[in-house]
Amino acid sequence: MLRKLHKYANPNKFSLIIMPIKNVCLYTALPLIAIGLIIGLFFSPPDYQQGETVRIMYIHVSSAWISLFAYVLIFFLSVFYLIWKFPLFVLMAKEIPFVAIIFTLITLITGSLWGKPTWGTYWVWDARLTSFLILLFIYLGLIFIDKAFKYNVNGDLSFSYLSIIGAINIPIIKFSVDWWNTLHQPASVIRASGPSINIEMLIPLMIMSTGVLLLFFYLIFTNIQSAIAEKKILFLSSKD
Amino acid sequence: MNNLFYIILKKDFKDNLLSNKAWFTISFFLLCLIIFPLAFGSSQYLELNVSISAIWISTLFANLIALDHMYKEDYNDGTLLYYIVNKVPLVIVVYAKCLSHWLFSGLPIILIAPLCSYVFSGYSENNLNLFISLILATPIFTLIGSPIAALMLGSSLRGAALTFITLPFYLPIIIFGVMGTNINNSNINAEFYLLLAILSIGMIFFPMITVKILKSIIN
Amino acid sequence: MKKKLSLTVTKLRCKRNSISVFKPLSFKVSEGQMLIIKGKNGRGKTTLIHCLAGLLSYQGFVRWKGVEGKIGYIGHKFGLKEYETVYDFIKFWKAVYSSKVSIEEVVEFFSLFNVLFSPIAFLSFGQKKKLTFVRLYFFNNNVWLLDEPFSGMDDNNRELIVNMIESHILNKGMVVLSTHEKGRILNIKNTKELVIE
Repeated sequence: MLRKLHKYANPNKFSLIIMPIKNVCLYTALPLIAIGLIIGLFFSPPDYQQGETVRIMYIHVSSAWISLFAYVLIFFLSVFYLIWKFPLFVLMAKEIPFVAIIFTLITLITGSLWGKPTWGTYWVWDARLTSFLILLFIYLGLIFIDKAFKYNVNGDLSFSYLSIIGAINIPIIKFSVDWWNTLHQPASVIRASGPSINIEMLIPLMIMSTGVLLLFFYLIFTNIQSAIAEKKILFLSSKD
Repeated sequence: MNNLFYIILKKDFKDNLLSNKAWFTISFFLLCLIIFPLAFGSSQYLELNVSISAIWISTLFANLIALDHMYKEDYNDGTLLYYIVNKVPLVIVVYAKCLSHWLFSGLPIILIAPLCSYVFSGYSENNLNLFISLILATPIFTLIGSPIAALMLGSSLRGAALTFITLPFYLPIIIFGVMGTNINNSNINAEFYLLLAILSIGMIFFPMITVKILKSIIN
Repeated sequence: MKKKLSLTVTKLRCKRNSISVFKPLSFKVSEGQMLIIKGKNGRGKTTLIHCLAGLLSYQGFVRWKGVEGKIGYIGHKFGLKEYETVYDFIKFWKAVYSSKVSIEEVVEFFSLFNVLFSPIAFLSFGQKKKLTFVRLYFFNNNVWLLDEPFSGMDDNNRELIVNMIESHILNKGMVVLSTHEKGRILNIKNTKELVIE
């Protein structure tokens, strides 16, 4: 298994492999997002309590999922890097925070826009919001540590260890709405007893999140390709 | 084993005193604390909430200041290298370092914080809560800081980056600590139990990961 | 039964910044033998010694046999605190290694009597370098890895170190050292040379 993977661990080959996947991601993501937005904005029913403002959910929830998923991805890539020492893993992991931080910002901004009509305030210091803000700062820290170690061999190790320590925050974010009695509503889609959300809302949400996920992968693959190219230039210039 | 722990702790203690780092932390705490009444613009008693948050913020920054040279000197002059090559058990070194860091940046603050709170606000009801939550929280600050201080060794902009990266990890502790201090009905002490749980997990987890980091980062 | 001391290295490679530092190396050093590593700057002498000390991860095999206790090591960094006195330094490392060698013996051997109670910051480069050898004196190990032990030393100190190494080799020890010096430095017959290209 590992030996088979080893063939693809060569950055040059990897860069060639992800080329078609990248394009597929982009060209399926855009129509999916368009369809999801159209269904979500025009054809899905309004909420019986929140009215039309519930439509913010289709962007808010899907980008929130992506920002959490991105951290889980970083975590596993870092763990794999520390176990097997393939430089490709950490190369991939290092490119994720740049993209993920944008999705985290989108989540926070749409969330506060949604909060104004429903809660009457843009921001409250409840557990879910605070832990999400901490996630934003952890992403910033990860970017920072990558920059701080630009000319040091230990950068990869430091990055992966920090991302492992930061992973403590992820379960706190996920379960904060269940553990504490907060203003933010509890999870209604991913939970043990099945989704409690209306099926007519669930379908556009799912289409939307698939589209955003694919878009996320497209952005990451683009970043990885440029990182590999950058590394190649550095290698060439240090060779002679 | 115990002997080695004692030797390294003593040496670290002496290093702190000799290099004059020891008094810096606690002086910084007091200085930081003095800013709050000045920023409020009057020498009247502050409100209780404000004085407690002033104490917590000052504690946080005093801890961060001291964190920078937790492993820095030993890394820069190569002592850490000799520890590793000569197979001195690093776990003991890390525990000794954490303890000495706490002795200089945690313990003095715990002792004078209730007094400061009384002087600032004129109330003394919350002092016991403040004392207990500081006793639980300052070791956690030290423990969380130790792997991150080890991570930043050898980086070009370590002081600033260390502060920035460590702060988000301190936030939950601050939240629970302040919540624990502000309890009005003293029957429910859920925050203390939570802090105690974090402390007991952290006591095992963070030194272990620090040892891992130090070993892999030393080249 | 005591195992005979030996070091076998086969196809050792080491990567830094994803570039191999040296071509695959293979050599063997046995008891009572000295290995001198030579090579220009930037060819990986220090990297090789760090690989042997187990500080760096590498590809290939490094096999130690019959190592007693810890590996002795002298590197570019001295591990000295500027504000400490020489006496404190000796006492601390004696305690860390829980060594039975007395402090008086060390002071006499290294002729440190004049500087015993002065802070290390006041010492010269050569004197500081000499102090790092105190660590080797303390514990009874049979392998020494020395990274350029002669740089910055005057004749007296150099003679002292040479004597130390010679008596160590006679006691069935093993020494791996890297150096820039040309010609024969030591009067040891059982010497191997490894030139890294």
